[in-house]
Amino acid sequence: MTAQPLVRIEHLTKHFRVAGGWLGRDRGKVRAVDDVSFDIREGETLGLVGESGCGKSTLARCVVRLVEPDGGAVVFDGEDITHRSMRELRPVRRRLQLIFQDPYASLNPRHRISRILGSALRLRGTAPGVRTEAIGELLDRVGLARYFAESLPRELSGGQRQRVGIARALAPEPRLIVADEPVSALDVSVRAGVLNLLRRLQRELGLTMLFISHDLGVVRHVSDRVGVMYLGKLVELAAADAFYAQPLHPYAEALLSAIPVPDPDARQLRRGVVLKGDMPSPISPPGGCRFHPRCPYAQEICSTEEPALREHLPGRLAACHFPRLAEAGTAAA
Amino acid sequence: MPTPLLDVRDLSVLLATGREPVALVDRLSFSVAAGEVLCIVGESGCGKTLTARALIGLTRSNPRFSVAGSIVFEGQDLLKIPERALRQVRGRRMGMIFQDPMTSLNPLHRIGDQIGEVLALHTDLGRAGRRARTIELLTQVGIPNPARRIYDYPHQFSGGMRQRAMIAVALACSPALLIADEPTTALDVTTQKQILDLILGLRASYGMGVILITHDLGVVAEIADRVMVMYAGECVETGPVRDVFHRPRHPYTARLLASIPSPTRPRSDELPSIDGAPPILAQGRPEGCTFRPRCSHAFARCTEPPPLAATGDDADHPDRCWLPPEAKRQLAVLEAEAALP
Repeated sequence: MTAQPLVRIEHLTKHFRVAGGWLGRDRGKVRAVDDVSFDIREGETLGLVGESGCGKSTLARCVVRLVEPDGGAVVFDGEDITHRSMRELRPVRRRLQLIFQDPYASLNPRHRISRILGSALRLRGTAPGVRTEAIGELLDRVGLARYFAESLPRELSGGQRQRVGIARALAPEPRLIVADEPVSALDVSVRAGVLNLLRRLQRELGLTMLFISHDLGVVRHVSDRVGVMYLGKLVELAAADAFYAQPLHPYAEALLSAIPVPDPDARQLRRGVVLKGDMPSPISPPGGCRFHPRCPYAQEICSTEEPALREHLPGRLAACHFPRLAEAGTAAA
Repeated sequence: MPTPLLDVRDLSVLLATGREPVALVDRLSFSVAAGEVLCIVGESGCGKTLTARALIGLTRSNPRFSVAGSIVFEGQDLLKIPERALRQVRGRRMGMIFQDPMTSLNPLHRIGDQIGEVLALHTDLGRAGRRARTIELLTQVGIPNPARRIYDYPHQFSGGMRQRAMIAVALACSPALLIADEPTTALDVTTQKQILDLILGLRASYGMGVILITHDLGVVAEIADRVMVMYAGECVETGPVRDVFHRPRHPYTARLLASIPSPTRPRSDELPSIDGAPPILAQGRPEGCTFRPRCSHAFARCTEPPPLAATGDDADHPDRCWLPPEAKRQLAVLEAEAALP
C-alpha cells in the first residue's frame, strides 16, 4: 500500500445554527464536527464509528462537499475543495462517489436499472454505443444477473438494490467512495453478501473508501484503520487490528464492550464498562474532555483541560489524558 | 416442570387475501415460565412482530386477520375471552414495549401523566399514591431526577430515556409477563446495553417472564434462556440458548450464526452468506420446506414439508429439517470452517 494520502482533512469544523426562540433568533450552535483532522491513504478503507449524533454523517457530507465546512480544509487528490462552488465541484464529483444508507429511497422508482447506471456512466464519458455492454459489466461486477438492467427498483430486494447503489457509485470509476451506513438497512442474512462484495471490490479495484457505520462489527470486517467520533470530535484513530485488541480511549473501550457478542458463553466474561447516562447535547458540550462526565477513569484535569489527539503508541492516536496504555500492552503481548 | 406462565399451542395468524387465506404465522407452539427469557429471532417479515401482536390481542381489531390455536396465560385462554376481560390482562398482568420509543408515547401528555394513566386504570391508588409510584418506577428504570422529570414532555427526553419511560409504563402494575418487540433496535449500543441490563435486573427482582423479539443474535446470546428461530412464519428451531448457538440443527440457524460480522471475530475475506430472499408469504407459501430455495443442503425429500421434530434424545431442541441427525451434528462444524479466515 502506498502511504500517499488521497484525502487530507485539516481542522475541519462544521457548526449548525439552532433556530427557534424569539423570532428565530439563534439559540446556539450544534458543533457537529469540531476541529477534526485525518488522512485517507490511497487504497485504504477508513472506518468511522460513533453513536447517533456524534457527527460522523456530517463529516462524510463535508468530505464529499454536500455541505460546506465552516472552518478547516478538505484536500482531495491534491486539490483544495473546501469552498468550491457547485459548478467548480462538478469535475471533482466524478471522482468522489457516495453509497447511501437506504436502498429504497436512493434509487429513482420510475427509472429502470439501465437508466440509473447509464446516467452514472455518462459521467465517465462512456459512449452511448458501448453503454449497454458497460452496464452489463457493472452488473457482473456487483454480482447481479444482466437481465436486471431492465428491472425497476421495486422489483428488486433490499440487498439487490444496495448492489445497484454500489454499481452506480463504481460507474464513473471514482478515486474515493464514501459509504454512509451502507448495510444498516439490510437484514442479517443479506448483509454478509453485500459486505463480501465490498471486500472483493477492495481487493480487485484497490478502492479507497471512507466507511461510516455505527456497527463496530461491520466496520472491523471492511476497514484497515478505524476512527471513533464522540460529540463532534475524533477521539481515537488506529489500525483496525490493534484497535479491536484494545482501544486506547475509554469511550472506544466502552463502545466495544457494549456490543452484544453472539456467544452465550461470553456474557459472564464480558461484563465490561457500562456507561452512565446519555450523550450530552452537542449544543453545549461539557468543558474539558467531552467524555469526562461519563468516563470511569476521569480525574480532575479531565474537566478543565481538553486533551489533544496525539500519538500515544506508534500509529495509534487518541485524545485522552489517561489512555489505556497498560491494557494495550498486555493485549499486544 | 411447573405450569408455565404462558403456554401457546398451534398459534396461527391467517391473512385473508383474494384467494385462500395465507398463514403468516404457522402453528407456533411455545411456553414461557416465570423468570424465563424467551427470545424470538428472525428476519424482517418472518412473522415475529405479528406473533407478539396476536399474543396481546392487537390483531383482533383488524378483520383481515384471523387467529387460531390457543394462548393460555395464567390459566385462561386469551383467544376465548371477550375484549373487556382481555383489557384487564393487558397492562395489568402483561406489559408491552414496542420498537419505536419515539412514536409509542403521546407527545401531548407529560411523562408522569402517561404512567399515572396506567395506574389509574389498573390499580386503586389515589392521586398521591400514583404520583409516588410513578416516581418510584422512573427511579427504577434509571431516570435521574424523577420528581422533576415527571412534568417533562416526551420530546424533552432522549431516545434512551423514552424507551426507559416506555418500560416504566409496561412495568407500572408489576406484570407477570413482559413482551418486548425489538426494544433496543432504535437505540445506540451503549444505551442498548443499559436497557438490556435493566430488563435482566427486573426479571431477577420481579420473577417476571420475558418474551423478547429481535433480529440481533448478539442480543439473544446476551439475554436469552431459550430461543425460537422463525423463518417464513414457522418455527424452524427452538431450544436452550447454548444448545441452539453451539449446536444449531437447522441450516438457516447455522448459516445465520456464521454470517455475523462480530467485532470479536478476526477479519476474513468472505463471510458465509445466504443467497436469495425469504419468500413473500402473501403471494402463497412455497411447497415443501420454506427454506429449500436458499438452502445449500437441500435434497430430494425437501419438497415435502418437514415437521418440527427433535433429533434423537434431545427432546428440548426440536428443528424443522429433513437432514439426518449426523448431518445436523456436522452443521455447526461446517459453518465454522467456512467462516475461518
